[in-house]
Amino acid sequence: MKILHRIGTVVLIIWGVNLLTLQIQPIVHSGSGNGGQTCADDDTDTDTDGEW
Amino acid sequence: MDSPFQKLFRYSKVVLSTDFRSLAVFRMGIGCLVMIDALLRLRDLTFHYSDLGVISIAVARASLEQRVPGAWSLAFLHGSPWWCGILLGILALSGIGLAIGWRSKWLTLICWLLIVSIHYRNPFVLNGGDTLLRLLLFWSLWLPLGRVWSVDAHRKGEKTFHGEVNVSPLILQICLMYWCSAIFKTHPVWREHGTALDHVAHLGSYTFSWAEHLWRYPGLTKSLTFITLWLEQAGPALLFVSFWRGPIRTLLATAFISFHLGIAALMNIGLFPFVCAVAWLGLLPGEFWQWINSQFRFPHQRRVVSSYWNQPRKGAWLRIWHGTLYGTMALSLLINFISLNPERYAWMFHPSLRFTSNVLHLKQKWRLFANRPTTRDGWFVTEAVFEDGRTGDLLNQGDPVSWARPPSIRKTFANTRWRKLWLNSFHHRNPSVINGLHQWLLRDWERRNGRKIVSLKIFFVLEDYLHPEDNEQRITIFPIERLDSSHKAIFAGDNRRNQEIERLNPFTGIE
Repeated sequence: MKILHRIGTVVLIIWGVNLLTLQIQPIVHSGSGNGGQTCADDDTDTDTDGEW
Repeated sequence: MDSPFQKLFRYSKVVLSTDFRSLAVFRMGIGCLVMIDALLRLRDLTFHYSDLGVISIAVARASLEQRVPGAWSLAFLHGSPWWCGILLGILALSGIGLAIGWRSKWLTLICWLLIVSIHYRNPFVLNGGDTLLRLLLFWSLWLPLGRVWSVDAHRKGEKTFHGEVNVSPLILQICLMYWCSAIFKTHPVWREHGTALDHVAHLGSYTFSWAEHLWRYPGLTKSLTFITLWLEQAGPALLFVSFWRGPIRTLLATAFISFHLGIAALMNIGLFPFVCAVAWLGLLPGEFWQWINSQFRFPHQRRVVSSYWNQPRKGAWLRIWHGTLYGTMALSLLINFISLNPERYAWMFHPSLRFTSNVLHLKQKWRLFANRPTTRDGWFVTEAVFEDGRTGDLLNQGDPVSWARPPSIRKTFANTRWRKLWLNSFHHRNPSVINGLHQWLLRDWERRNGRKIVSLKIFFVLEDYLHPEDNEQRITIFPIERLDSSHKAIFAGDNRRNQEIERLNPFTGIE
């Protein structure tokens, strides 16, 4: 019973984070004009998504 | 009966802790990476970090003053190569000192100050690995890196011991990086089609040629795409499981380290995979070290009774110091949230927060191959007209200009930093970088060959996996055709992007 409880907790945590990720996704600004991204740029001065 | 607050405190003690020995390995890894980073940068000392190179101090400062108030750099004190050479030399030595755990606290501070200085000196050559290394060094200021397996511990005569230490800033940083990266991956190539890694595989400027065999199997790339996404989303969540901590964290660290080293084997993205791997080393659980001890029969290690968690927080300065940590952690959280949609949430970034963030160089944006990987790749060709009327390509020892595809696009760039600089000029359309590259090409050629150049054009020869009809299109990077309303370059010949810019912003797009 304890094992089932623990497995349930792990599944719940993973499911919760995935759900949260999907909930937050609609607010993401998709970026524009550069046809996708390479690996992360240090955007100190190379920000393509406007000033902030 | 414990109150909910006590239960929460006990839970957070378990999930936000790591073993002292893991933190020691983390310190060694970070020290080695700092040293390697400094030595690798020394190769391009004149070209990337001096007034004789691509970005002069005046250009860097002008660019930062407009967009990054509060930015500072010790490298701005002098424009000659030897000054930055001294800074990088000190950085390399500090990295070695940190790795062996000599004066760990002070050397962490020195490494961080110098890394920030070097990053602000030339931000155009940086990638995600640099950002992560800088942030890990910053959070390390609050971590007792030198408690075990260090010269510091040896000098204090402390026996090897183990215990738990609060590493909440390290865990926060790891979670923010992976979760933001997953959130940014909104495009169907990541979420539905599973073709994102197939797109990455066709970036000739990144992938190793021997890895191409692996990419030929669509089923494999599709599986790896979804595994990547799931690992980024679900992996860090498992750090918050308070039971089975030993096996879960060992498996988690092994999975992520294998994942990053796998990426490093398939494509050249600089130190990024290694920085990530070192961050995970810091989260190895105590059970892992006990298993190592049992396997190799190391001398019995004494368990420390009073761990870092239990130390009394006495003294006003100590309280301020820890208050600063929690303040900067909150700021880091805000920065990452705003980065998801700067246009909508920039109002949250009060000028004072922005200034603080820039002074501490906390800015981060984890768009790792997101919202989708770029498919626009290519190589650069220059067309110089010499005094005698001949033409030649300065990037190819002045030989006659050839538009043929090079056998390896990746090898047309001297190293990852040069690749970043060149590709920045195309992808981010920054006029300062483009003009800097143009001026540097002229100066460098004339200094080395003594032959005057009458005119010089820079082209990017496009290779677009998504739009093969655009392949081998010659885009004129210099001279810049014109600037758009946000002072970014518009290139002649880049028809698809120019149309997109006009479509997205018909009134203020192309002036």
